[in-house]
Amino acid sequence: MLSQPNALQHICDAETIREIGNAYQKLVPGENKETLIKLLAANVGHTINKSMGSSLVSSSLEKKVRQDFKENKTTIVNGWILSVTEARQCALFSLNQN
Amino acid sequence: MHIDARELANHSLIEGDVCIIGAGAAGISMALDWIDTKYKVILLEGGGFQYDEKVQQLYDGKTTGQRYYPLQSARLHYFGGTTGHWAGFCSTFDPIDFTKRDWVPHSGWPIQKTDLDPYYTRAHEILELGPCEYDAAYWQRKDPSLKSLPVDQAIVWNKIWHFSPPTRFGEKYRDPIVNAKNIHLYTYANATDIAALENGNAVKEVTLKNYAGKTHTVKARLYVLACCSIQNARILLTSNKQMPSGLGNQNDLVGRFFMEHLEIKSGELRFESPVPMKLYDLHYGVTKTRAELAISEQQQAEHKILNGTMSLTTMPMARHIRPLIDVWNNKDPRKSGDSLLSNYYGAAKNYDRSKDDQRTYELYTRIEQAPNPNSRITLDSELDTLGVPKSILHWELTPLEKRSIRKIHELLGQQIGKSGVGRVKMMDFLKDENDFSWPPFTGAGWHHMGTTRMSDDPKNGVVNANCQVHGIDNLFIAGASCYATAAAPNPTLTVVALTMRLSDHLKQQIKITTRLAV
Repeated sequence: MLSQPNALQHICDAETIREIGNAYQKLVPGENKETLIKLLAANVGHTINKSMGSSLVSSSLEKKVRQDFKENKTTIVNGWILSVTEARQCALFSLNQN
Repeated sequence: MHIDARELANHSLIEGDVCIIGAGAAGISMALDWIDTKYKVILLEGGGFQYDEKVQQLYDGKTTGQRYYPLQSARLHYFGGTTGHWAGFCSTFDPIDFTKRDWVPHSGWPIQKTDLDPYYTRAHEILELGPCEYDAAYWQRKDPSLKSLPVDQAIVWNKIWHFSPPTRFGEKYRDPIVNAKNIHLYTYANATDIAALENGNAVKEVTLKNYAGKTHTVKARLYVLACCSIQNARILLTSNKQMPSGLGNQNDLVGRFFMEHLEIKSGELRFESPVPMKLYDLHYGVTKTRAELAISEQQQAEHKILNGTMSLTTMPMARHIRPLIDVWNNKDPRKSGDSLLSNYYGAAKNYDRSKDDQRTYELYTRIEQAPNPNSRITLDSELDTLGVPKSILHWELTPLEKRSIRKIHELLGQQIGKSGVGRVKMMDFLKDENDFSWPPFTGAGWHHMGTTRMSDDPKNGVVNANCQVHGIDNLFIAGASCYATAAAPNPTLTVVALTMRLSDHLKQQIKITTRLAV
């Protein structure tokens, strides 16, 4: 759930998301899997558990992504201008794939 | 009236009130404005009414530095000049383009946009453009289907462009010029030397040559040099009998600050779902106006970047369009022109509309070049067939251009992300913010500007605010060589507007000189 960047999923394929994720890890090597989960989960506003619907997590993160753009919390990864939150989602996605 | 200078007796003396050297967009616009005045205007054209290979070769020259088009094919050398193959893209400069920007070295004009505004209206008529309206809202009121992308207009705004038919000056204005009693058009009349009086403060005469072996002399009260940026610099530099460094070159500025518009494929815009794009679409030959995405003046100042715009082309078609610099590579402008047209028509033909989901667009940047004294025209030791030294263009860019293109994408990307409609991706050559090299496909707009730049201070410019060469009372320059900065738009509209302004000034000037003579 945390590793699914909603907007990006609509405009690029899984391979591209994985590449963005790999590139983000190189840019911010300190954010390992555990850190990424913590940072992303903190945006959900609730403790994540198995009974929680994926839509709640997804909508919370989407809201956070929009908020990032509003606050200029953006980053350039592999040429993409992304919100920091969605870049982290890509990183987590690539780590899960690996 | 029209006179073929090849048919005149050798060593003819031609006399008039105003001598306009060059019959392109600037020279013809100026001549049109003097029709039916009481003054005899001599309009000089180096070529004839049609393409002539021997004349075109006079534009041959070398290039160094940033990869560039063959100089011989970058301008047309016959009546009408480069309007014989221009594409008709027109837009006004922005107010910021005229201001001194502390982050753009050598920026700032001695005039403001408001000084040119009335002349833009006149230029619209000459270039057969629609109403001189540049507010996107005006066009959206006329056609509500012209929807803007959901971006904050205080950051990214819709800059309107108009499209001329395009007006071919050689065809459109040949009869009015030739039929005008007071306009004396001389074809095959190449100005090869401008002689100044001994004290150097006024032009005495102009020498004309042609490949028929004839040499003639022109004497006038006022002279207007209107041969475009490379040739304007070339003739000033080569006219060195009285002034060893060349006319108007006492401060080593003639030929310096050559500018072009960088034009380059630079990124892509992907939408989550199709978005109305009619406002930004260009159907060449059909579209009369469209918008490109521009960065607000406030944002340019905040991020210390140059002025530039981005156009959008649906990606399935853009993929078939080869970079301009790879396409326009023949010395013969007709062959390069054919190659360019094939490029676009081929792309349109090969583009499979059925597979276009209208969700991915190529971003294409056109941006001003920062004024750079090392980007310049000099004279070669090699001579052309009329004995005039050929030109050497050293085209040189600075890191500011690349940093600006990158920042423009970042700002647009933030706006598109914020709106929730999609994302922006910059191309690989922009990824590394510390890499200031340019990819091999970096192109330009065939827009030559800045070699006789405008400044009130002779130490910073060749011409003053009235386009008069500093220190030479009766020599004026018309055209983009006077630009102090290049702005983002193609130069022709502003060339014509600036020429109309100069024309008004010369009409006042010639009255004064007439009164003094009486």
